[in-house]
Amino acid sequence: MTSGAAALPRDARATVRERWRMGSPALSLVFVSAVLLAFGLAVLYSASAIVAINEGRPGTFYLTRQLSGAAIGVVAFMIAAKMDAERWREWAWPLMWATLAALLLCLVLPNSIAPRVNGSKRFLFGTSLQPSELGKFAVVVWTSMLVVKKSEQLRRFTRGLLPFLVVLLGLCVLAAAEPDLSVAMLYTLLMAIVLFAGGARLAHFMLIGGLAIPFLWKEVERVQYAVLRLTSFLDPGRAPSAVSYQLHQSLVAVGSGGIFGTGFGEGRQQYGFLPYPYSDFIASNVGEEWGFVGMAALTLAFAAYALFGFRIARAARTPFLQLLAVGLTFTTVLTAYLHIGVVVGLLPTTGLTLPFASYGRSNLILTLFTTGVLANIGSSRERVTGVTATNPFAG
Amino acid sequence: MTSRASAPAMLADWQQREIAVIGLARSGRSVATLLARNGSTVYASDAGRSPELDEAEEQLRREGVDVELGGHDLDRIGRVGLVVVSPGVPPGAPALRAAAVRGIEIVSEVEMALRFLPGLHYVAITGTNGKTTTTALIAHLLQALRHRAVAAGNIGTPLSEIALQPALPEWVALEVSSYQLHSTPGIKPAVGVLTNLSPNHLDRYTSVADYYGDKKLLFRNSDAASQWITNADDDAVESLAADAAGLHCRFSLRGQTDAYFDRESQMLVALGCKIVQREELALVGDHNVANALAAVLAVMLASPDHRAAGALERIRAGLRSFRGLEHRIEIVLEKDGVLWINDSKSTNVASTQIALRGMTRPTVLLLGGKHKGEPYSTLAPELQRTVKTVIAYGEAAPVIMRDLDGVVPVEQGGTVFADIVARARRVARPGDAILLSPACSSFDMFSDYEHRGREFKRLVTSA
Repeated sequence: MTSGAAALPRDARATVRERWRMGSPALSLVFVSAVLLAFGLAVLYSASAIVAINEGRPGTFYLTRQLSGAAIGVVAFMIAAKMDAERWREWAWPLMWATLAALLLCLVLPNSIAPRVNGSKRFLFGTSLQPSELGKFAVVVWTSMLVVKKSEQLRRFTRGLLPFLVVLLGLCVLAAAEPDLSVAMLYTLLMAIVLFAGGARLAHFMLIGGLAIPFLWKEVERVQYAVLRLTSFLDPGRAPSAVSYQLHQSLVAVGSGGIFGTGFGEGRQQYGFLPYPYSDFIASNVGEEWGFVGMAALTLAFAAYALFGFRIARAARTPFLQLLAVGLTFTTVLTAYLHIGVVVGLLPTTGLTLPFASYGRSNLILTLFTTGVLANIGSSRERVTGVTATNPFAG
Repeated sequence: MTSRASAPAMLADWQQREIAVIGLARSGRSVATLLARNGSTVYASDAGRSPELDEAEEQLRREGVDVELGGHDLDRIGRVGLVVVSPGVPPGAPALRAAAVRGIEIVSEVEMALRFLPGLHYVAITGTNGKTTTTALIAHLLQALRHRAVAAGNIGTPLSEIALQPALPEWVALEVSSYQLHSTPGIKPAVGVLTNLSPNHLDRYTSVADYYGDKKLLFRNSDAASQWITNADDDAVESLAADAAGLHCRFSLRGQTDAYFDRESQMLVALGCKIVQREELALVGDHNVANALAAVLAVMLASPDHRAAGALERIRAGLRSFRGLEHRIEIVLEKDGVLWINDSKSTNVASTQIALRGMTRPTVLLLGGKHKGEPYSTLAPELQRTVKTVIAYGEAAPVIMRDLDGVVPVEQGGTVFADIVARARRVARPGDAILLSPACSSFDMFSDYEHRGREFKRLVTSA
């Protein structure tokens, strides 16, 4: 069938080069992320400087360390953005095994390697590596891969949904043993979202949800709590009295910010009233120093991140990448909203970070890296031919 | 004025002067009607004469078209502003030369229709073989995805007929031949499919390079937003498409690529998703697996919505419900232990080659018709594998008998189709198959390949 090929210039192919070109949603996403990163670093400096000085360190201690994370993160972003995201499919199982192994290592290794920090064993090698962050990416990649692989079987229970539940159970048990219930909850949510986007039956979700209620009674209470918070918002007289100290300080911070805030660096809560103001409650610093306007802008920025992420997902090249983009967008945005919800007292207190802002290099690198993967999904392979193909600077 | 593309307030430049439509088969007729209804002065002519053409003349006169049959007014054609040529008109025809020497633009019926269908979403399909099945399957899959989709172009319905309809379909699967590509400067499909390439139509092209050159015109308007589907197993296709801008996706029966056939699991895989098992397709032969892969890729690329989980279910259902095409390796019946197969659509040697590859019984092959210039000797290996007798008929019979002398037994069938079929019946024994796969065009004895196929089926079933 190819006898005529000789009639054509075969060397034409040799001068063809392919490169990734970001579409407009991807460019917008990168812009939003850059703004969030810059803003996040500023907020981190403001929230951590006093704490660092009180600890007898230079005021820029946390900022410098975070900046090193940002530098690695930007490199990770660039690599991910120029690498065909489809290749993560092949890495799904290795990533999942690596996550399970790392989570297990956190538990079994002696305190010298996997130290106990504030009562939980979440880190490896001092506090430099937090395997549960890798786990977020692994959960999304692995679930997307298996959803696409199972395709039609997904609509059945035993051969479709059950394998997902087995792996999820393993992950959650390990995360809960650290203990880090927030991460276990996030894994569950992320897997559920990808499964739902992949076309799993709503009835199966209801069934699992129904079965899980007795085991997750605490979670149900949390939902009740959230509803209670909402009603108390409308009727302050009936607000729950047992608000934790941390949350109380956070509410004081957000409340004292008013409409426009006290001004950058002018906040009072980082003077030690609020424990860990630079991580689990960093958004309260935004609320205090940047006010309602700052919080609204932060919320909108993550909404924009979601919007562009979903646009990328909708137009993704393959079904696997559609799911991967949905999952990765949720990984960042869901974490952010759960964090903001906690800080303003809308949700029960959990240990979730604010992506781009909270101190934690594993999280920052992961967030920048997943943004890079999203940017690649939002890119198309462009063919460059002729002279410009061999010399990117010509033409 | 029922046309959706109602007469514009200002006519474009090419509409200001008289337009000549050359060739009045189905597409010529539709395009003349389309032009007349949109306010152009149209002169339509055909070198032939037949009852069908008389009917066309009457219908076009009612539309206000000036019709001439049995010849062309070359002086008049030399004065028109634009010439629209039908696919059946040979490139060297005097009417076309008359226009060419005066530098008058010659365009295809497809080009004309596209100018009346701005913003049309269409998948263009071309290639030497498999394009009709792929076109039909793409339209079928788009319908399975609940779109108002139609197949048009060479497959049957001219694109001009779509332009005449009051409502625009959401999608068109458009089959285009190399001749049409040659004179369709405005082609810019949402997705372009190039199924395969092999030397063909040497009666109309002076060289293989010219033929491939026309096929390459599919890519003439490519840009960064273009999407192309090519055959990774066909080097000629790949080198032809290599420098086209836009997204390139490939299908293959041999290796893993964007869409491929996994022989081990007998599974068709596209964009990383298992689609269907081969046995679920109601189409026979490897070439049809390739066609199905190309069609699935085309549909999945056509819109991101077609890659979502729910859409894949519908694509699968569409593949399972597709029943193939009439006249393309179509099983007519099995009678007295003899299987009759109608492959009248095979109008070239490569197409007949594909039909022969799928044969598992001793076969009596009906070969012949209007000779197109290709040698029949390339069929020798497949003929020796599966064919017990070739019955050569029609104008091509002497060439076939010369080319296949000493390869397999060849009998002269004559020029009366009923006699040819009767002779095949006498030669065949129970357990044999009789295959009509002529490798030639039908115009020496029939009006087109469909006529030939219908006649074959009538003779087979009525005996």
